[in-house]
Amino acid sequence: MTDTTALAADLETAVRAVPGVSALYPTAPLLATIVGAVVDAITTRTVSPALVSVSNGHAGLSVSTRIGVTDTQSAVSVSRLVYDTIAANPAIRAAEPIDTISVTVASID
Amino acid sequence: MPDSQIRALLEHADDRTLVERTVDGDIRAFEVLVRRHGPLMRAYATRILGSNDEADDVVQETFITAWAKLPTLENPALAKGWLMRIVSHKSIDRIRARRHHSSLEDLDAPAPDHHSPITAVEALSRSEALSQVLSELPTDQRRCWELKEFGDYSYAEIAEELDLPVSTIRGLLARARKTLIREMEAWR
Amino acid sequence: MTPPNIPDPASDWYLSDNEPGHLDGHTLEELSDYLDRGRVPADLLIDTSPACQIALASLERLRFAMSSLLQDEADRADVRDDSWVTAIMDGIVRDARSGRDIPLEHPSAHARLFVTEGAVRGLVRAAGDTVANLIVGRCRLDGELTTPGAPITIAINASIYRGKSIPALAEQLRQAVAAALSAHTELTIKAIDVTIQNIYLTRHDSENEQDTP
Repeated sequence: MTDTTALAADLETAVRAVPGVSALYPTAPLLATIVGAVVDAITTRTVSPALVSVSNGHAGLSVSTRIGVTDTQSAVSVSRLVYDTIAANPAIRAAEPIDTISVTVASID
Repeated sequence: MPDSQIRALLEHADDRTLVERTVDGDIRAFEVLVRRHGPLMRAYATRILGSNDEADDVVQETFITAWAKLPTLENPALAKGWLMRIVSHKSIDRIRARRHHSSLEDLDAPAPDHHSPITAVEALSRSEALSQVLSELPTDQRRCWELKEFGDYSYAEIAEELDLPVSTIRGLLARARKTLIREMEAWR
Repeated sequence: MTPPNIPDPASDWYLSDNEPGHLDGHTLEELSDYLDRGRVPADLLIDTSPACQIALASLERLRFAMSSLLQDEADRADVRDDSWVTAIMDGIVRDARSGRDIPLEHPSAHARLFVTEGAVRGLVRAAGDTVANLIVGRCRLDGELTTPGAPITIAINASIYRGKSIPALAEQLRQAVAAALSAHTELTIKAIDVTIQNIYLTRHDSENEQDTP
């Protein structure tokens, strides 16, 4: 049994450190009418919903993250780099089987 | 392109462009719309509600609704009128919530007796004078008048919004119009 | 309410409660409605009555005064702090318009990589904003976005400043957008359609650039 909360926090730190990642967005679908900032820019870390979600399903572990990318780097390569970073995490490698690792680029700027 | 330059660019854009960009998810374009129309909407909500704090809430709710509903706006060039409609609606909703009983209590209340002396009014700007005359109208007259003039409502729409027969609305508007014309011509 | 006055042509019409007596048989409400309709269809009796014309002018003054009133109040309040804008903007979720998820390829069977339609639209806008004398409006991505390799047409609305060459600016926009898309996405772009929907009369900022002949 994997401690998903600790793993999520661990992965969040790793994803933020990937060059070209400018922001992390909440992975849960959000209502457009929520009042209160939910964007967590790298510079202003505040309490926020899970920015990397980790869940255990019958097919294995699923990881999901939504990122913002700076336009000086290719969004395609940054997303692959983020994937590689998550896949290379020791906890992920130890937590076979892996179902999916999702990386969604939600903004480029 | 630096952020400040994009902002400057957007400030010169027409409403249609800003609405289109907002619908596509451009938060900066939306902010320009907020800055462009927010003050007028706030002034309008303040008039209808008679309170700055409540007006702020209403304007904020309006823009949050607008962000969600802008994709349904058929003619993006008409954003301003559309926003004013939402403000009207939300303001009236608040008034409705406020008066849970005796909804028509001030319907037939006469205008306050004290007539603003022309000499005192002369010292004020036209807007201030008009504002004073407006504030002396019975509440329902004033509210109908403001919906018609600021919100561009038709008689039928005001009737629906205030839950009153169209004939009553006509009467209220006629009285408000008469008073305003009389006062305005007097200090012209 | 004051009782109706006996018509007195010498007294000012607006002081009387007998409007038809002073307004050639019309009421102020009728004249106001006439104004609301944009004086269409034209009413000859109103249009040729001096009394009605005076009242109409008065109603128009009132209407103008009303709109100035609200604008004056808005302008006066405008100088206060900016917190109300911040409060509104904080309430808006940034990626609320993410649209469809566009897949990106990856050799691993576990990988699910996407770029959102909203991110691509933002990219198109940002690329368009680098083209001087032009501003991008709506941007649409037409095609099977969720199918890798499917041909996609980008449709962009844009406005330009008067005096600028439409074909030249449209081409610059196409190139800037194409470059951005190929740098950041794996989309197969079939076409980039640019519609110039509006031509600005003037530009308000610095006029230091020369107009294209």
